[in-house]
Amino acid sequence: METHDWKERLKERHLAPPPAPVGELQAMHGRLGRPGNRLMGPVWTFGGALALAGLAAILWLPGLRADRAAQSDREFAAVDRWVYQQWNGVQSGTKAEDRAEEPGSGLLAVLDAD
Amino acid sequence: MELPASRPPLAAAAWVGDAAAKADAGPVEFDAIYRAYAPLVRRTAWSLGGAQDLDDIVQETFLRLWRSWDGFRGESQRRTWVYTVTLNTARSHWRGRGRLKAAFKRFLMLVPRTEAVAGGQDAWELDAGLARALRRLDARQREALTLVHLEGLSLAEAAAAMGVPEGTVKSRLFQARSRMQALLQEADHGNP
Repeated sequence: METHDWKERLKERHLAPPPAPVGELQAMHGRLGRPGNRLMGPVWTFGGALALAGLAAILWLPGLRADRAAQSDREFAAVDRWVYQQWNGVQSGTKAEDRAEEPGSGLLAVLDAD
Repeated sequence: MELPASRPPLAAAAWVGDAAAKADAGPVEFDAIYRAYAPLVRRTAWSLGGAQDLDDIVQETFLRLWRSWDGFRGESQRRTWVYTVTLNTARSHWRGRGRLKAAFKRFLMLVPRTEAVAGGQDAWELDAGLARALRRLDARQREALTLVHLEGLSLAEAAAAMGVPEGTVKSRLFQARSRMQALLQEADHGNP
Protein backbone atom coordinates (compact mmCIF):
# COMPACT_ATOMS: atom_id res chain seq x y z
CA MET A 1 0.00 0.00 0.00
CA GLU A 2 1.23 3.49 -0.77
CA THR A 3 2.04 5.25 2.48
CA HIS A 4 1.35 8.79 1.30
CA ASP A 5 -2.40 8.28 1.09
CA TRP A 6 -2.84 6.48 4.39
CA LYS A 7 -4.69 9.39 5.97
CA GLU A 8 -7.30 9.41 3.22
CA ARG A 9 -7.67 5.67 3.37
CA LEU A 10 -7.98 5.83 7.11
CA LYS A 11 -10.74 8.42 6.77
CA GLU A 12 -12.56 6.25 4.26
CA ARG A 13 -12.31 3.33 6.65
CA HIS A 14 -13.42 5.46 9.56
CA LEU A 15 -16.52 6.68 7.75
CA ALA A 16 -17.64 3.20 6.81
CA PRO A 17 -17.89 1.16 9.98
CA PRO A 18 -19.74 -2.16 9.92
CA PRO A 19 -23.47 -1.44 9.99
CA ALA A 20 -25.36 -1.64 13.23
CA PRO A 21 -27.00 -5.01 13.71
CA VAL A 22 -30.67 -5.13 12.89
CA GLY A 23 -32.71 -4.37 15.98
CA GLU A 24 -29.89 -2.74 17.89
CA LEU A 25 -32.19 -0.07 19.30
CA GLN A 26 -34.72 -2.69 20.43
CA ALA A 27 -31.91 -4.71 22.00
CA MET A 28 -30.88 -1.66 23.96
CA HIS A 29 -34.48 -1.07 25.03
CA GLY A 30 -34.37 -4.58 26.42
CA ARG A 31 -31.24 -3.75 28.38
CA LEU A 32 -32.78 -0.52 29.61
CA GLY A 33 -35.86 -2.30 30.90
CA ARG A 34 -39.26 -0.69 30.91
CA PRO A 35 -39.76 3.08 30.50
CA GLY A 36 -38.90 5.13 33.52
CA ASN A 37 -36.13 2.75 34.37
CA ARG A 38 -33.91 5.59 35.48
CA LEU A 39 -35.83 5.35 38.73
CA MET A 40 -34.98 1.69 38.97
CA GLY A 41 -31.26 2.35 39.40
CA PRO A 42 -31.60 3.71 42.95
CA VAL A 43 -34.21 1.05 43.74
CA TRP A 44 -31.83 -1.72 42.76
CA THR A 45 -28.99 -0.03 44.59
CA PHE A 46 -31.07 0.31 47.75
CA GLY A 47 -32.34 -3.26 47.46
CA GLY A 48 -28.83 -4.55 46.94
CA ALA A 49 -27.54 -2.62 49.92
CA LEU A 50 -30.38 -3.94 52.05
CA ALA A 51 -29.71 -7.53 50.97
CA LEU A 52 -26.00 -7.13 51.75
CA ALA A 53 -26.79 -5.67 55.15
CA GLY A 54 -29.10 -8.63 55.87
CA LEU A 55 -26.46 -11.10 54.82
CA ALA A 56 -23.85 -9.35 56.93
CA ALA A 57 -26.19 -9.42 59.92
CA ILE A 58 -26.86 -13.12 59.48
CA LEU A 59 -23.15 -13.84 59.31
CA TRP A 60 -22.12 -11.40 62.02
CA LEU A 61 -24.77 -11.70 64.73
CA PRO A 62 -23.96 -15.25 65.90
CA GLY A 63 -20.32 -14.21 66.19
CA LEU A 64 -21.34 -11.16 68.17
CA ARG A 65 -23.47 -13.22 70.52
CA ALA A 66 -20.61 -15.68 71.00
CA ASP A 67 -18.29 -12.74 71.75
CA ARG A 68 -20.70 -11.36 74.31
CA ALA A 69 -21.08 -14.76 75.93
CA ALA A 70 -17.31 -15.12 76.12
CA GLN A 71 -17.00 -11.63 77.56
CA SER A 72 -19.67 -12.42 80.14
CA ASP A 73 -17.74 -15.57 81.11
CA ARG A 74 -14.55 -13.54 81.49
CA GLU A 75 -16.30 -10.97 83.67
CA PHE A 76 -17.78 -13.70 85.85
CA ALA A 77 -14.35 -15.36 86.15
CA ALA A 78 -12.80 -12.04 87.22
CA VAL A 79 -15.43 -11.48 89.89
CA ASP A 80 -15.08 -15.09 90.95
CA ARG A 81 -11.29 -14.69 91.30
CA TRP A 82 -11.73 -11.52 93.32
CA VAL A 83 -14.22 -13.09 95.68
CA TYR A 84 -11.96 -16.10 96.12
CA GLN A 85 -9.00 -13.89 96.92
CA GLN A 86 -10.95 -11.81 99.40
CA TRP A 87 -12.45 -14.83 101.15
CA ASN A 88 -9.15 -16.65 101.26
CA GLY A 89 -7.47 -13.49 102.60
CA VAL A 90 -9.93 -13.16 105.42
CA GLN A 91 -9.33 -16.78 106.32
CA SER A 92 -5.52 -16.79 106.15
CA GLY A 93 -4.70 -13.17 107.01
CA THR A 94 -2.38 -12.76 103.96
CA LYS A 95 -2.41 -10.00 101.35
CA ALA A 96 -4.52 -10.60 98.29
CA GLU A 97 -1.58 -10.32 95.79
CA ASP A 98 0.37 -13.03 97.68
CA ARG A 99 -2.37 -15.57 97.52
CA ALA A 100 -2.52 -18.27 94.83
CA GLU A 101 -5.39 -17.98 92.48
CA GLU A 102 -7.83 -20.78 92.00
CA PRO A 103 -10.30 -19.34 89.56
CA GLY A 104 -13.53 -21.19 89.07
CA SER A 105 -14.01 -22.15 92.67
CA GLY A 106 -14.18 -18.86 94.60
CA LEU A 107 -17.72 -17.62 94.33
CA LEU A 108 -19.22 -21.06 94.37
CA ALA A 109 -17.15 -21.93 97.38
CA VAL A 110 -18.38 -18.79 99.11
CA LEU A 111 -21.95 -19.58 98.25
CA ASP A 112 -21.55 -23.18 99.36
CA ALA A 113 -19.98 -22.02 102.61
CA ASP A 114 -22.96 -19.76 103.20
CA MET B 1 4.41 19.84 12.41
CA GLU B 2 1.48 19.57 10.10
CA LEU B 3 -1.67 20.95 11.68
CA PRO B 4 -4.69 18.68 11.81
CA ALA B 5 -7.59 19.33 9.53
CA SER B 6 -10.03 21.39 11.54
CA ARG B 7 -12.96 20.82 9.22
CA PRO B 8 -14.89 17.65 10.00
CA PRO B 9 -15.20 15.17 7.19
CA LEU B 10 -18.54 15.52 5.44
CA ALA B 11 -20.11 12.35 6.73
CA ALA B 12 -18.79 13.06 10.20
CA ALA B 13 -20.80 16.26 10.30
CA ALA B 14 -24.04 14.29 10.52
CA TRP B 15 -24.26 15.04 14.23
CA VAL B 16 -25.05 18.67 13.46
CA GLY B 17 -28.41 17.55 12.17
CA ASP B 18 -31.83 18.20 13.66
CA ALA B 19 -31.79 15.07 15.79
CA ALA B 20 -28.75 16.20 17.78
CA ALA B 21 -30.18 19.68 18.24
CA LYS B 22 -33.44 18.19 19.53
CA ALA B 23 -31.63 15.74 21.75
CA ASP B 24 -29.62 18.58 23.30
CA ALA B 25 -32.61 20.84 23.79
CA GLY B 26 -34.15 19.38 26.91
CA PRO B 27 -35.77 16.26 28.33
CA VAL B 28 -35.14 13.47 25.88
CA GLU B 29 -36.12 9.96 25.06
CA PHE B 30 -33.51 7.29 24.65
CA ASP B 31 -34.38 6.91 20.97
CA ALA B 32 -33.64 10.58 20.34
CA ILE B 33 -30.19 10.25 21.86
CA TYR B 34 -29.56 7.13 19.83
CA ARG B 35 -30.70 8.73 16.59
CA ALA B 36 -28.59 11.79 17.23
CA TYR B 37 -25.35 10.17 18.19
CA ALA B 38 -25.33 6.59 16.89
CA PRO B 39 -23.20 7.38 13.81
CA LEU B 40 -20.68 9.36 15.85
CA VAL B 41 -20.36 6.71 18.55
CA ARG B 42 -20.16 3.86 16.06
CA ARG B 43 -17.50 5.53 13.91
CA THR B 44 -15.41 6.45 16.91
CA ALA B 45 -15.65 3.03 18.53
CA TRP B 46 -14.84 1.42 15.18
CA SER B 47 -11.62 3.39 14.76
CA LEU B 48 -10.65 2.93 18.37
CA GLY B 49 -11.11 -0.80 18.61
CA GLY B 50 -12.02 -2.32 15.27
CA ALA B 51 -14.84 -4.73 14.59
CA GLN B 52 -14.30 -6.94 17.60
CA ASP B 53 -16.93 -6.23 20.22
CA LEU B 54 -17.92 -3.04 18.37
CA ASP B 55 -21.63 -3.63 19.01
CA ASP B 56 -21.02 -4.24 22.70
CA ILE B 57 -19.06 -1.02 23.06
CA VAL B 58 -21.67 1.00 21.16
CA GLN B 59 -24.52 -0.38 23.26
CA GLU B 60 -22.66 0.11 26.52
CA THR B 61 -21.84 3.68 25.50
CA PHE B 62 -25.52 4.48 24.92
CA LEU B 63 -26.52 2.95 28.21
CA ARG B 64 -23.95 5.12 29.96
CA LEU B 65 -25.05 8.18 28.01
CA TRP B 66 -28.64 7.55 28.99
CA ARG B 67 -27.87 7.03 32.66
CA SER B 68 -25.79 10.17 32.96
CA TRP B 69 -27.60 12.36 30.43
CA ASP B 70 -29.22 14.57 33.06
CA GLY B 71 -25.99 14.76 35.03
CA PHE B 72 -24.14 16.48 32.19
CA ARG B 73 -22.91 19.73 33.71
CA GLY B 74 -22.39 21.65 30.50
CA GLU B 75 -18.68 22.25 31.08
CA SER B 76 -18.07 21.34 27.47
CA GLN B 77 -20.24 20.87 24.41
CA ARG B 78 -22.62 17.93 24.61
CA ARG B 79 -20.92 16.41 21.58
CA THR B 80 -17.52 16.56 23.28
CA TRP B 81 -19.01 14.85 26.31
CA VAL B 82 -20.39 12.10 24.09
CA TYR B 83 -16.86 11.54 22.78
CA THR B 84 -15.59 11.37 26.36
CA VAL B 85 -18.16 8.74 27.30
CA THR B 86 -17.33 6.76 24.16
CA LEU B 87 -13.60 6.87 24.92
CA ASN B 88 -14.13 5.86 28.53
CA THR B 89 -16.42 3.00 27.56
CA ALA B 90 -13.94 1.72 24.98
CA ARG B 91 -11.08 2.03 27.46
CA SER B 92 -12.84 0.13 30.20
CA HIS B 93 -14.04 -2.47 27.71
CA TRP B 94 -10.55 -3.10 26.44
CA ARG B 95 -9.14 -3.13 29.93
CA GLY B 96 -11.01 -6.39 30.16
CA ARG B 97 -13.93 -5.89 32.47
CA GLY B 98 -16.41 -5.10 29.69
CA ARG B 99 -14.96 -7.77 27.49
CA LEU B 100 -15.36 -10.34 30.22
CA LYS B 101 -18.91 -9.21 30.87
CA ALA B 102 -19.77 -9.42 27.18
CA ALA B 103 -18.25 -12.87 26.90
CA PHE B 104 -20.15 -14.01 29.98
CA LYS B 105 -23.45 -12.67 28.63
CA ARG B 106 -22.87 -14.42 25.34
CA PHE B 107 -22.08 -17.57 27.24
CA LEU B 108 -25.40 -17.30 29.00
CA MET B 109 -27.06 -16.68 25.62
CA LEU B 110 -28.59 -13.48 26.95
CA VAL B 111 -27.13 -11.42 24.15
CA PRO B 112 -26.51 -13.50 21.06
CA ARG B 113 -23.60 -12.17 19.09
CA THR B 114 -24.82 -10.36 16.00
CA GLU B 115 -22.94 -10.85 12.80
CA ALA B 116 -23.42 -7.72 10.76
CA VAL B 117 -21.52 -9.03 7.78
CA ALA B 118 -21.63 -12.39 6.15
CA GLY B 119 -18.61 -14.37 7.25
CA GLY B 120 -18.21 -12.40 10.48
CA GLN B 121 -17.32 -8.83 11.22
CA ASP B 122 -13.67 -9.32 10.39
CA ALA B 123 -14.70 -9.63 6.78
CA TRP B 124 -15.58 -5.95 6.94
CA GLU B 125 -11.88 -5.11 7.10
CA LEU B 126 -11.02 -4.35 3.48
CA ASP B 127 -7.63 -2.85 4.19
CA ALA B 128 -6.02 -5.32 6.54
CA GLY B 129 -2.60 -3.63 6.52
CA LEU B 130 -4.05 -0.29 7.50
CA ALA B 131 -6.19 -1.84 10.21
CA ARG B 132 -3.22 -3.76 11.58
CA ALA B 133 -1.13 -0.60 11.74
CA LEU B 134 -3.94 1.22 13.52
CA ARG B 135 -4.26 -1.59 16.03
CA ARG B 136 -0.52 -1.48 16.74
CA LEU B 137 -0.68 2.16 17.76
CA ASP B 138 -0.67 2.98 21.43
CA ALA B 139 -4.28 3.34 22.60
CA ARG B 140 -3.84 7.01 23.57
CA GLN B 141 -2.24 7.82 20.22
CA ARG B 142 -5.11 6.10 18.44
CA GLU B 143 -7.59 8.17 20.41
CA ALA B 144 -5.88 11.42 19.41
CA LEU B 145 -5.69 10.36 15.78
CA THR B 146 -9.35 9.34 15.76
CA LEU B 147 -10.70 12.47 17.37
CA VAL B 148 -8.60 15.06 15.60
CA HIS B 149 -7.79 13.58 12.26
CA LEU B 150 -10.79 11.38 11.63
CA GLU B 151 -13.61 13.08 13.56
CA GLY B 152 -12.32 16.57 12.81
CA LEU B 153 -12.31 17.88 16.37
CA SER B 154 -10.15 20.87 17.17
CA LEU B 155 -7.20 20.32 19.49
CA ALA B 156 -9.12 22.04 22.30
CA GLU B 157 -12.19 19.83 21.79
CA ALA B 158 -10.08 16.68 21.63
CA ALA B 159 -8.22 17.73 24.75
CA ALA B 160 -11.51 18.26 26.57
CA ALA B 161 -12.84 14.90 25.38
CA MET B 162 -9.69 13.05 26.39
CA GLY B 163 -9.26 14.96 29.63
CA VAL B 164 -5.68 16.01 28.91
CA PRO B 165 -3.97 19.33 28.00
CA GLU B 166 -3.83 20.42 24.39
CA GLY B 167 -0.07 19.96 24.29
CA THR B 168 -0.50 16.30 25.16
CA VAL B 169 -2.98 15.82 22.33
CA LYS B 170 -0.53 17.50 19.95
CA SER B 171 2.35 15.29 20.96
CA ARG B 172 0.21 12.11 20.84
CA LEU B 173 -0.98 13.12 17.40
CA PHE B 174 2.55 13.67 16.21
CA GLN B 175 3.65 10.32 17.62
CA ALA B 176 0.63 8.61 16.08
CA ARG B 177 1.37 9.96 12.62
CA SER B 178 5.04 9.06 12.81
CA ARG B 179 4.26 5.57 14.03
CA MET B 180 1.57 4.99 11.40
CA GLN B 181 3.99 6.08 8.71
CA ALA B 182 6.69 3.78 10.06
CA LEU B 183 4.33 0.83 10.43
CA LEU B 184 2.97 1.21 6.92
CA GLN B 185 6.45 1.53 5.44
CA GLU B 186 7.48 -1.55 7.36
CA ALA B 187 4.46 -3.39 5.95
CA ASP B 188 5.32 -2.21 2.42
CA HIS B 189 8.87 -3.49 2.72
CA GLY B 190 7.63 -6.75 4.12
CA ASN B 191 5.10 -7.21 1.30
CA PRO B 192 6.52 -5.69 -1.87
